[in-house]
Amino acid sequence: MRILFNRRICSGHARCNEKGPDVYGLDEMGYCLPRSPIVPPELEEQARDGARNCPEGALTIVED
Amino acid sequence: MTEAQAGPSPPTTPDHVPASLVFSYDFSGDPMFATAPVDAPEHLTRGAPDIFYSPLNGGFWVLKRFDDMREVSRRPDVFSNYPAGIPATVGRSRKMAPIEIDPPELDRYRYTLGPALAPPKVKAMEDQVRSIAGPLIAACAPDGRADFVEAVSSKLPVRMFLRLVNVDDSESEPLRILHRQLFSGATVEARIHAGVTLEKYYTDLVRQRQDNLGDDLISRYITATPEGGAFSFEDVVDATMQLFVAGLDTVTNVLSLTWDYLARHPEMQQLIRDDPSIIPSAADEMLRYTGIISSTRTLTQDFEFNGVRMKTGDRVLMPLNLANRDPEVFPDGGEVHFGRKINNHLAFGSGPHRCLGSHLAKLEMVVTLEEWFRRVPAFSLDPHDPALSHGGHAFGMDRLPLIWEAAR
Ligand code: HEM
Repeated sequence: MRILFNRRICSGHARCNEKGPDVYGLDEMGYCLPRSPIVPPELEEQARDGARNCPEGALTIVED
Repeated sequence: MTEAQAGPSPPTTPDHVPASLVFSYDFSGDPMFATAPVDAPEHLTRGAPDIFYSPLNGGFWVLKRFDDMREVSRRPDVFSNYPAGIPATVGRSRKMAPIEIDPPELDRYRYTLGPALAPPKVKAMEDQVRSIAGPLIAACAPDGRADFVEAVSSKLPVRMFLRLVNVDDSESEPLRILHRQLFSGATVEARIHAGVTLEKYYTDLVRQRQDNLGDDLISRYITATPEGGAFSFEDVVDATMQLFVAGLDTVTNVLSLTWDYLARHPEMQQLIRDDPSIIPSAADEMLRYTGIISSTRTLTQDFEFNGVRMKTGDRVLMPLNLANRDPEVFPDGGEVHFGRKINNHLAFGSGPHRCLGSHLAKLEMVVTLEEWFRRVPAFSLDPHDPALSHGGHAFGMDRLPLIWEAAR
C-alpha cells in the first residue's frame, strides 16, 4: 500500500494524524507529513482511516 | 465587525442572474433560527438549486454542495475573503486580519499563529482547559439547574483565551459581557458600543504588552519576523481583536448547541455515560452536525462557476452546515452518530483560511464534555424556561436553561 499526498491542498486539519498517528506525522504548522510513502501491512487500517477523514481530500491510498 | 451593518435593503437581483436561480434564503433573520438553528439551513433551502441567488441582504449567491464550497475556498484569486459579512460591514477603515486577508499576504499571519495552535501545542493546554471547565461545572452541578450559556459555554472560552494572551482572570467577566453584547446586543447601538470599547481594550493591551513581552500569542505577533514583513502596531491590534472574535462566540455556540441536542436526546447522553472514550469522536460529530459558520467570499473577476455566470463584486455565502449534510458525502448527514467512521467535515472551513483554532476548539469541547458527565446526571430542557437561538454568520444560542436531579 502507498500514500499519495497532495501537499498543495493540505490545510492543516490534522485529522490524518488523529486517526493514523503512526502513518501521518505533522510539521511545525500542524500540516501533514506522511512518515513514509509506503505503508507496512500492520498500519494499513490507520492509513485508510486517516485518508478518509481528510476534509481536503489531500490523501489517496493506492492498494498495490 | 465593530461597525454597523447596512440596514435592510429591498430585494435585488442583477441582470446576469437567471430567474430560475433566484430563491430567498434569510440566513440571519428567519424565525426558524430562533428555535431550530441546526436544521434551519437545510430546511430553508430545500428545493433551491445547488447554486442559487438570494435577493435578500443586498443579494448573494449560496452554495449548497460540499465540493463547491471546497473548490471556492481554494480559489482565493477569484473568490476573495474581503470584505467579510453579508451585507458587508460598512465604515471600517482597516481589514480584519487574518480573515479578510488573501494569500500570499495571509501567509505571514498563519506562519506566526499556526505553530502556536498546532496539535502538539494544544495538547499541552489540556490541563489548563480542565482547570477552567471543572470549577465552572462544579459550581452549578449542585443546583440542579443552570442556563448553560451563562454558567458554562460563554465563560469557558474567554477564560481560556485570557491564558493564551496572558491576562489575569479578573478581566474575564467584563470581557465576556462585552463580547456577548458585540454578537447578541439588543440594539445596533449596543453592538457598536461594545465594539468600540473592545477595540480600545485591545489597543491598550497590545501597547502594554510591547514593554512586557512573554510567551503568549500577542507577543508572538509583536516579535514575529515572517517573510512578508513584521507586523505594525495596528496589525497586531487587529489580529488580537480578531483572535477573540473568532475564538469566543464560535466555541460558545457549538458547546451550547451540543448540550441542547443532548438535553433533547437522553439516549445519546447515555452512550457517553456508558463509554466516555467516545467523547472525542462525539465532539467531531457535533462539530459536523452543527456546522455553525456561513463564510463569505467576493468575486474579484467575472467567472463561470460550475455552469453559473458570476460577476465581479458578487457575494457568495457558504453555509458549512449544508456541506456537512451534503448527501453525496454524508448520506445520513441529518442524523447524529457519535461513532461516525468517516467524518471529513468542513466545520472549520477549507483551503488557506482553515480555522487556526480548530484544535483548541475541539479540545475545549472534549474536556467540557468529560468534566460535565463526571459531575452531572441525566439532564433535560427546562420546560418552564425556553431556550433561545439566533441565526447569522455564526448561528448559535443566547440562552439554554437546563434541569437535572440536584445532588442531596
Ligand atoms: C467550534 C469553534 C470554531 C469554529 C466552528 C470555527 C470555524 C472557523 C471557520 C469556518 C473559519 C474559516 C472562515 C472562512 O474561511 O471564511 C475560521 C477561521 C478562523 N478561526 Fe475559527 N472556529 C472555531 C474556533 C476558533 C478558535 C477557538 C480560535 C482561536 C484560537 C479560532 C480562530 C480562527 C482564526 C484566527 C481564523 C482565521 C484564519 C484565517 O483567516 O486564515 N477559531 N474558523
